[in-house]
Amino acid sequence: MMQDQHISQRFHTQLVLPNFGIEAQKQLLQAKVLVIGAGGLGCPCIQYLLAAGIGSIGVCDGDVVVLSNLHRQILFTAADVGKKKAELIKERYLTEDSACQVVAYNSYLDTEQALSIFPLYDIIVDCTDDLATRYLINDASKLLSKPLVFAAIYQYQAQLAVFNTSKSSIQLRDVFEEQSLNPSTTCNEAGVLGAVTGLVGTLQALEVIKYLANLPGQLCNEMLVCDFSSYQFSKMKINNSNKKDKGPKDIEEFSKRDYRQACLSKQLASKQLDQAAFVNLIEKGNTQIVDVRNAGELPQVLPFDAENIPLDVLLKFPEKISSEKTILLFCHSGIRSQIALDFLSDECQINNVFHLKGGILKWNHYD
Amino acid sequence: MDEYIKILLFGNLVEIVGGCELTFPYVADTETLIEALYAKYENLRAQTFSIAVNKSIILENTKIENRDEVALLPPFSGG
Repeated sequence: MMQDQHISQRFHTQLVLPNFGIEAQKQLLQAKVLVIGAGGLGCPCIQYLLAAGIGSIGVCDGDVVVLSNLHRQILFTAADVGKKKAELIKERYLTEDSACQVVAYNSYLDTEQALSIFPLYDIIVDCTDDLATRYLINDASKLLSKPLVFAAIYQYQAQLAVFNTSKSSIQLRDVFEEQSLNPSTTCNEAGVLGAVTGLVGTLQALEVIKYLANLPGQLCNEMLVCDFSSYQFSKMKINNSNKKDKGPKDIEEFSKRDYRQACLSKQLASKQLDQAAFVNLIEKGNTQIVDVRNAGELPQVLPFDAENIPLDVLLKFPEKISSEKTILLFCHSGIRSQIALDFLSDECQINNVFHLKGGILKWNHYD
Repeated sequence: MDEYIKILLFGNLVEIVGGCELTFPYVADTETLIEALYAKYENLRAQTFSIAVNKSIILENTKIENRDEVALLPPFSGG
């Protein structure tokens, strides 16, 4: 533990703030924060938390650094490509500053791990990039009564909220019911500027500090919706009195729940798949993968073998489509494959047919 | 238009509707409004979103007043 004099010097500029002070700083120094996801949101969040004097940070991420991360994941450099993100952050802060402790969890969070590590922390920060994990984190935080700072991004827009700060506070399911899952859109698919993830990850760090230091103005029962393109910010009020979607009722139900499968089944019902779900069905086998673009259209498809049946041919000769197999359709941007899907489902009564949302244009070759 | 509703779109709904804000002829409640939007923007039907009336998220059909602001908020997942 740091001496008071050292604390006063090092954190002077935040100590003199109204409503802050030595006691608030001591709260930060004793605090344990778990950050899940060390990507575009996680990197700036972790940096500001450690600089503010958080005592211990757990970093949970099973991913390795790839080149296309570097524009927004500013804790990493080109020399880090191929290395585990959580481990890199731990090593970096071991040498830079021994006053704070970083614990690395080099795996993707699952229900078992959530139950074992959440109790070790005072507050959880969701910096992940897929909805299935976000519901898992929400449910574990709710069941274990841990405050949760949530943020998510779509291009220039962001959503930020703080859940579970008290028994009456809201959770993710009060804002978005799980049955309303759209196929997940990651930053790699939709595109994002590093400056935007940087701002939003920093807002998450700010909410953690406000909570731990008991500062005024904490987000409570509302969601901040930001558009960084137009600089429009709105706080949407959320009422938790009329919950429809309650999630797992206890630890046992939570442990048995397959979050990824729940997300996948929603996509299967909607017939439009994101890249992960599309690959999942290819791996299950017995598929006919059909490229409904015209012959020779670019980009060429490399990740899997597909049969080319242009849309106009398919509409004339639907017998080219197997009724015995799972049919996976794709095109350039997802419009022609949707037309083919509607035709096969409605006119030909083929039910086991899906299409790739956003088309091959959105296929991510880099991560 | 004397009586209208201001609609704010977020996330991928902007691409579907072709803008982040639009004014729509007045209707009395959110269910009627969403049906009218589905009729005009067919691709909206495949999307899911929460609805906020005057910056308050609603869970069931809600009465709308003239010139109210209705926001359609899809869940974001990126990070």
